[in-house]
Amino acid sequence: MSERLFAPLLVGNQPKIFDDRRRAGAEFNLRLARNRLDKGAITPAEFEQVVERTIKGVVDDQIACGFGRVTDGRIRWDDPVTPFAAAHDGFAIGGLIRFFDNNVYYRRPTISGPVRFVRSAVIDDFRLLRRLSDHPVMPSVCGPYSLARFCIDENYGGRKALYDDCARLVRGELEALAAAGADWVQLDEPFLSVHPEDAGVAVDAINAAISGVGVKTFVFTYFGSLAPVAERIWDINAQALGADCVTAPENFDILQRGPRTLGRAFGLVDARSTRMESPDWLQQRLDTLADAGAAHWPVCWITPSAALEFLPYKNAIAKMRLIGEAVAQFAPARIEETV
Amino acid sequence: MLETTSVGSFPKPDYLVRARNAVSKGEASPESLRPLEEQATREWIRIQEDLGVDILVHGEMERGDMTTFFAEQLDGYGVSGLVRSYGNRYYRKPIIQERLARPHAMTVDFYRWTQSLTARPVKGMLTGPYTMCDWSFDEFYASRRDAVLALAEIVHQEVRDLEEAGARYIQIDEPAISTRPAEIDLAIEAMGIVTDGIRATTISHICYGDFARIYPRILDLPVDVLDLEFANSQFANLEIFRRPKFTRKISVGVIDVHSHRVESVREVKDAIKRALTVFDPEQVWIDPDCGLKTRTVPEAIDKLRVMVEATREVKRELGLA
Repeated sequence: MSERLFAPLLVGNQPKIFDDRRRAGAEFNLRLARNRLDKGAITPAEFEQVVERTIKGVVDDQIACGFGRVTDGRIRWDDPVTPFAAAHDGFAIGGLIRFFDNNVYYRRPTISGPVRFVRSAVIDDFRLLRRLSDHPVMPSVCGPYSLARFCIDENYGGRKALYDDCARLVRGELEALAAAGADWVQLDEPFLSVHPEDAGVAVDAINAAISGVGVKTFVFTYFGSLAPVAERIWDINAQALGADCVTAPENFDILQRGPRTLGRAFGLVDARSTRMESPDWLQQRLDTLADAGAAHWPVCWITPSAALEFLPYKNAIAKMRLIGEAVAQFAPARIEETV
Repeated sequence: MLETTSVGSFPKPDYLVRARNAVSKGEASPESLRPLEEQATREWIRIQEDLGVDILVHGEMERGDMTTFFAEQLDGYGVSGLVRSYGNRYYRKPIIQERLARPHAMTVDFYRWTQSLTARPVKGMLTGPYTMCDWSFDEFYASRRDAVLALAEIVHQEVRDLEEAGARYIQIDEPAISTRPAEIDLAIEAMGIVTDGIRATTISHICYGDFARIYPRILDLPVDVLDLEFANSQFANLEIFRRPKFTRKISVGVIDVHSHRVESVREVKDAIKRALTVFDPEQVWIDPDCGLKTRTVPEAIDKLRVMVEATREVKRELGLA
């Protein structure tokens, strides 16, 4: 529920290490806790306490910055794919590869057998987030097209069955979240803009996962331009669509052209640079969206362009504060999330 | 032919790790590290000599992160808070805050001292301008091109000084070069500045990227040897280099540096022979995929031992010894 014309929202991972005096102790130091867990110096239960404190800290930071709908900052995730590869059948965790054009690396899964849903990879974290916050929440999952593209396919030969099975897996995650009471779920689809030649396959897979699933879905694309896939993205049956408008500034205009019934998320603030945008510049961007009819869209989220984990903690907080303050200039407004 | 070497970093012994932690907590002076760094470097030089490695590295005992180490010595750079790079590993990502300049040589003294420890060649080790830029935040330059070319001039100065100090092999690491294929021309232009007029053998290490996106254009990178990672992906990327034929020297990564498991000699021999189905023996050096600093000291030594032994056996079997 939002009472404002614009609402701030996070996408992707948050920094996992706090860098402030309030939370300087070992009980908040997730990095140290992981090292200690690996060495057997603390128990899994003690480690879990640090995880929960960290997620609570991430939630508190969002609320302090004016974010009404909160995420868990994906504190438990190193990347958007390996949590799913570890939880479900058909995957083996493989060698290191760079995560898009960032100096961040993940272990690229190999699809070595039929992809099958086993047990939700995210439901426990969703319940934890609900327990830690009385604000509306936004859990997230890897979208079906990107789930397939993140992996090396050794089982399907790239055939349609690969995307069908990945869609069924993601649908299983969405159904679990819907049954647990989620109202919105974010899907990451960073590969959508990287492989425009696959736009049809990607849109079909996304729709197979989300259509009629009983929870509102928000697809965010990250890093690339929507221009090569602009003909197809409006066929996605999601209730909201969002994109990085920093790496690809044209996305700011493209997203405005969607149907009125579609919610939007504009990744306006650069999540990969410590250089700060000016409040005036951001205000002008929001003025443009207001003039474009944002009041008629079911929701208009203002987000960082990607995961703020690409920044040190202090810079991430500064970017969140910038978004929160810019959005607050437009309160009160007159729309609610009524998709 | 089939010379053995290492990419760059080795794990720091416990006494040096503890000392570095003490310095970072303000409990000891940075100057107190130097004798321990020298002790650890002596140990690694001796280990490589005993194992029979052909071209040595100093092991980077004095360095933390491969970008931050240089940024801390250059005018114009600041250092940020911690940013995660992989798993539970973090680094302090540098920030370009003003016009960059090199007030003094950054690696030459330590190179000269290390080379004095051994009759075998020791590589000069630098991070390339494209990677320095890509792995920094930039709050000063108007464009990435401006930043990369400014860094290229600085790295060239360091390469020139290393050559004057006697370095026969100088490695300029560019692991970020496969990140943005659209910028490969810029990376090549920058390396052209770095190696301009240099007669030492130059090497560039590139890893954990999608080589298919930059091949064969990467053959135009103006260095003598390209050093690429293969073991991490079980040589899945080897086929890329079959057509068009790879025309440069190549240092082939045959050891997975992100696995605790020590490869068997047979496994590494198979890997080398597989590489030789694509590359000619005269083109090939043998090394691990990347720096070994994330392994334990015993793991790193065992992995190097296997690498050297496997290479010797392959040379013997192929009559190349």
